[in-house]
Amino acid sequence: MGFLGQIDTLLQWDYVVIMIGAVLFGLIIGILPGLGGSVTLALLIPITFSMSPEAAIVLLMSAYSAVNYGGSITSILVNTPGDAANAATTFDGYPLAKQGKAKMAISASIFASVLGGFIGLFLLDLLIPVARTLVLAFSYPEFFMLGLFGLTVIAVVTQGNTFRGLISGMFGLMLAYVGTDPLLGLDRFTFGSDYLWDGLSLVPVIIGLFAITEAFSLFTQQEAYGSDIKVGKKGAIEGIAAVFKNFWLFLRSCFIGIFIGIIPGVGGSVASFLSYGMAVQTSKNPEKFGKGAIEGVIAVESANDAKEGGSLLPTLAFGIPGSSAMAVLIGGLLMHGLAPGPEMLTTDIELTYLLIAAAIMGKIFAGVLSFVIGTRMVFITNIKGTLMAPGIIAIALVGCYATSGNIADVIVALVFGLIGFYFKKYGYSRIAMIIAMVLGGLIESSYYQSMATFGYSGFFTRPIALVLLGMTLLSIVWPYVRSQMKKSRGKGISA
Amino acid sequence: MRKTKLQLFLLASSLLLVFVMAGCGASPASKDASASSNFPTKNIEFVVGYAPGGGYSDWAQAIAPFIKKHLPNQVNVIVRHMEGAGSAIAANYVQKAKPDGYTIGIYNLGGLAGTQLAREVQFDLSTVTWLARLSLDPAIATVSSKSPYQTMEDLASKDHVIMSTKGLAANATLTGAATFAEMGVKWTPLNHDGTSESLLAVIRGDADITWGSIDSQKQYIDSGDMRMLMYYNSERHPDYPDVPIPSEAGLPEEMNEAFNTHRLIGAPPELPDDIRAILEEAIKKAIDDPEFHEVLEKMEFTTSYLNSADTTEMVETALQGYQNYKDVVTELLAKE
Amino acid sequence: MIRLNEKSLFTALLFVFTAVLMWNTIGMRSDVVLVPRIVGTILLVFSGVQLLIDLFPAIASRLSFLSKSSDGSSTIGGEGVVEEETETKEERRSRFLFIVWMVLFVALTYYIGMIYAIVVSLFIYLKWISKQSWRLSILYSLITALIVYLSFVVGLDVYYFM
Repeated sequence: MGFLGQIDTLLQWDYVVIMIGAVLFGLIIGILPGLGGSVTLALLIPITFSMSPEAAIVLLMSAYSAVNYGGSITSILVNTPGDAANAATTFDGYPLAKQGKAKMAISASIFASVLGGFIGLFLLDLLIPVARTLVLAFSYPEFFMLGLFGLTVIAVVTQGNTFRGLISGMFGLMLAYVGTDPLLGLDRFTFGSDYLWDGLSLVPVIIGLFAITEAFSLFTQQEAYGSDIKVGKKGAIEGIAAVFKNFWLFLRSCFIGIFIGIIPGVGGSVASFLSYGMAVQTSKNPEKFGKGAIEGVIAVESANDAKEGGSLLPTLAFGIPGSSAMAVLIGGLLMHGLAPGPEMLTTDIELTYLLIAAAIMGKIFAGVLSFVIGTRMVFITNIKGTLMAPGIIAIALVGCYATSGNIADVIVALVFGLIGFYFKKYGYSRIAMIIAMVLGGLIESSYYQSMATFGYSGFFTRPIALVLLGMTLLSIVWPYVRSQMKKSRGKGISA
Repeated sequence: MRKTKLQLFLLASSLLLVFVMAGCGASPASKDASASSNFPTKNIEFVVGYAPGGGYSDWAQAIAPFIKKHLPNQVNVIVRHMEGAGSAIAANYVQKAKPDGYTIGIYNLGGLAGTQLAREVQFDLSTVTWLARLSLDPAIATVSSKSPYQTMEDLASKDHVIMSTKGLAANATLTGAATFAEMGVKWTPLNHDGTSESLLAVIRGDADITWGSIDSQKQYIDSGDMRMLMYYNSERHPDYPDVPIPSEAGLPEEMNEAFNTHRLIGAPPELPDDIRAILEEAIKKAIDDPEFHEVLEKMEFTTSYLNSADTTEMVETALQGYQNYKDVVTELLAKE
Repeated sequence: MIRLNEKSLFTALLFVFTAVLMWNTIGMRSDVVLVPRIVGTILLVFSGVQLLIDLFPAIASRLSFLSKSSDGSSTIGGEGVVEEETETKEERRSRFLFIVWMVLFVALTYYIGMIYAIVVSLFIYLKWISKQSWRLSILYSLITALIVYLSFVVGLDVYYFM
């Protein structure tokens, strides 16, 4: 618990001022859709030029800790995720807002985030001695199996109509193949457009699928979309209590988050989708998910923040970023003459502890501030749908355009808004599509990489890969087993 | 009656607001760029083709305020990240921009030359108006520090070498392919879509060797995770005196500098000479600024400045050099 | 009997999209397009079947197990539930109007800049699509634009919004 010693360093007033400023900044950026952690850090890095390394760490870490919170607030209130990692928060958060339980959802999500973030950083602290071994234990066959396991979530969310669910999933896979092929690194299915070289960017697609699609169903409504606020003043407390009621689920989601975080090259949004899938699969009544189950919000948000602790591990052990935002953070640290890498575990260990302490303090500040701001923003759900729709469209398009000023991003968002609308209308699955799109590239590239290094045997001889394969098979079979069990039990009762 | 007054008032005040906003937005843009004698009159856009946090972004963000300082009218130099397609999107953007000096970009010569060779692109490095070379980033070959290979010759004896790559048309892959072609080593690529993943593959031992630029791998060499086997330059690196350069290892001498990557600042083709001179001057003064040197020192960056004319000449030679290795690329991409 | 409506049109688009990608794989190295070909072929067959179901109601009744649609209560996230066709002609018209409006918004963003696009398109929406009062329409669009202007152009230096 080396970081505890650094907490009182942080309580000096100048650091506190930096932290509050940074957290506010991070929160605002997080609330603006489309702008995530890496943008926040990029904007702040030039400011740190004139600072001491310690102050720079405090500034960057606390701003970064706050970004996710802003994103989850807009996911819940207006179905507009700030970043790909927040996308899964909309699945249950927005239906809760529609039921007038936005306050409860927000407080649960923030509390789960803060606590999840703590657990992530706490475990990071414990895992530091074995950091290098742990990171090196995962190679391509494990990535591949993890990708397959992630795809089983599709089976869970498409029980409404498996056939159209499969079409949605494969459509998502095909979209994932647009861009650069994993074998040569050349363009594939780009139709001569350099915009598509890196594939469709996830943020505009997600903003289109969720925010713009939602605007379609809002714009004709003359009444407020959140029905009367049912949970009044107690909402906030109910939200916190919900986390404790589902503490086991919460812990499991944290572990999934940390696990995914440790593996560089597996995107952060995978963590939230996987833990959502796990929450649905292990629930006694999975059918309530997607219609406002607080468990859905808790699982996603805790995994999301716990992941940050995990993704610091490869950064500390090798100087290799665990996520895109972490890459920016490393860049920022390098400019101050700090080399993230093994030295951070030996000679610079005090700075590492400062980093962890700053992240923890940042989370506390961010939690309190976003709680105050978020619960006050609930009034949005009382606005008439027809007035809300243009606002959502405006902030959605603004968010897409702001990231790199490319009109193509805006067009992509619009097109996927339409696709999302028809998907919803005709019974296809947006969730299946987006999961397949996130995992498609990982599965294909890790397949080729496994074949180049280990051959077929790599899939079946490595213990971690085998465990993941077992979990994949189990989660495919489990729904049938359970429905059979339910049937036989039902018979028993009726007889 | 009162209500209409209120409405009128609101209408008037909101109209006012529109005009104020229109004014704010229009004032810098409306001035004509043709008046080059008093260039610059508005903010300059400095395009970076990579995500924030990388070497190119750090360089651009560090030097931008100093270019501003030494420009005649001290207009802002705003860094704009336009990441994607290995900086080809940004290069296309600058290529097509108006040659008025208000759009400049930072270029990765090695990377873009490879792209230009292998893919269909809109930019053409031979037509870009070069303003300066900021730094030189030589190519290196590295293995894991636990690897049994101590020299490049050790690899020649192995019948199947796995090279960790980041795209087969990338400059680093080209360097490796050309080196192995000279040595007669058989190899297979293990491709990744990020530099850090491809480095981790070597550290983990899944791949035998990788090529890259020294700036991107220095931290792993210094931390003891990786070992440098070859340094591509005209002479050995002062910090790593034991590492040979290609000509010392029996490779042709023109390989020494053929694959070095350079950080350049360029502007759209056919930039008027007087504007080019103003920008060149500002960049040169920025690089000579002692305050800027303090920043560079903090970031552990070194400069290797070349002026506009010398940079243009250097780019021409480099592009010709790449042309010589075009066969290596075509062969690489046609291989089944 | 052929049923040509929005639904079958959408399925047809899915089918065509896949077909175009598959057509694109011709002439590419077979190892590079191996996985997309496998997935694409299955998707082509599946969306083809779906297209037939949507086009010919007679087939749909025979393959009813494929188009079974559970009611909302037993599915997760309401995914896979076909919305009932209760849309009136007027509603459909206003939906298309909304789509046209969004396209206009994007076009304006491209031609006159994000901030002005917000002012103009929000005003058009509020005044003529949503039929709000003058006061609300003007205030709403101006305030939204002002907030975006302050936070992005002033705050974050995103100059390409103008």
